Amino acid sequence: MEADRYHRALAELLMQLADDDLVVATRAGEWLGLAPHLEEDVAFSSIAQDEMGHAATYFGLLAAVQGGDRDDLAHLRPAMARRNSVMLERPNGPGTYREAPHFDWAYALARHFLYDMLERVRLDRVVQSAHRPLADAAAKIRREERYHTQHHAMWLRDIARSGPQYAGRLQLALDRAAADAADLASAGPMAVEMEALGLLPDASHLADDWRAHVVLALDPLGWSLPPLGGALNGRHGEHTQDLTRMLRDLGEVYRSSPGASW
Amino acid sequence: MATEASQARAGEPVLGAYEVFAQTSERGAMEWQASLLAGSPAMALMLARENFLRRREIFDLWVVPREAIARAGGADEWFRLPKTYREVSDYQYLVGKWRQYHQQAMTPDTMA
Repeated sequence: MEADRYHRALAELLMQLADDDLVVATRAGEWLGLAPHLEEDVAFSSIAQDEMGHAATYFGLLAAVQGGDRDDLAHLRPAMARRNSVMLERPNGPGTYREAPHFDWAYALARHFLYDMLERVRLDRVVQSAHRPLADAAAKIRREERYHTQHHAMWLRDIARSGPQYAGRLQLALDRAAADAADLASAGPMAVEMEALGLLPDASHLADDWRAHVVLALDPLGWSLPPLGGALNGRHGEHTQDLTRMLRDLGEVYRSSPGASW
Repeated sequence: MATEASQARAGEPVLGAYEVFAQTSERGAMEWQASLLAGSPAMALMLARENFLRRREIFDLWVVPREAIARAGGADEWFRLPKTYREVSDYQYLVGKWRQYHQQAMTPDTMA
């Protein structure tokens, strides 16, 4: 019974980590060829690649814990089985990366920044996880995440210095991202178990820590964290059609030939 | 004629050109790697890492605003002036001359 609870809480945590990274990597990857300038295009795409690598690591750990295939877990689970935050699944703006992509760079930055701050406070806990393989993987991942944080902090600082027209756009983007972020810094329905079993130490202060980090970064630049909203809770498997469409596109090739070795 | 994209409009954030240099080891020389566009020196450092040095281990990295570089220009005639007279090889003929004068100096006629 106790072992079952541990197993379920661990699987929930791994799904949150894996699904968050898979979804944020996919949305970031859709900027390939579309970022504001060539150098940033390469930089943002390589961040997307990092995030996808982290997702692959977490899916590998999940497969080891509950059986199954890492790629199946990434591609074949329906939207309602996913645990990512709803904020991460939203499109980058009007259109799609294949057709009329009128994407919003300010929104992409604001969203990725809010997620980065979560990764920071969450990884600080996960490196102390009682599940040793997860703690070890998180230590490696945290080294790369430092540079993602730098990237976003730099963009925010440069935008803040670019005048009220641009700073105002970024605040609007923060407002839009926050409108879906109520579930972002939540560890979901098994948060109590995760903390009690040492899987995610101090899970109960995750949201407060996240908010403190976000405010500390935004405040000196003149921005605020708007009230968080969102009727759906991704940690409970509640998602939008945006996620369904994204998963359909992302897994299209994988599903076209089940069992093929990539 | 300048295109619309190349004209800096008032109040618009401007990207500047930077030259990227990297040092492979502590005792190695700084070597030029590439050029890039960035909004600030800090951004240029970050973009240099992500664009050009992602797969390599390095010791240190510089980015230099292009306008900080004093440039001689490829049209400078000085670079193409003949310089062989600065090479030792340009003076090889003197060896023969010395030998010749030395031998002349040693003949009985000149040894009064």
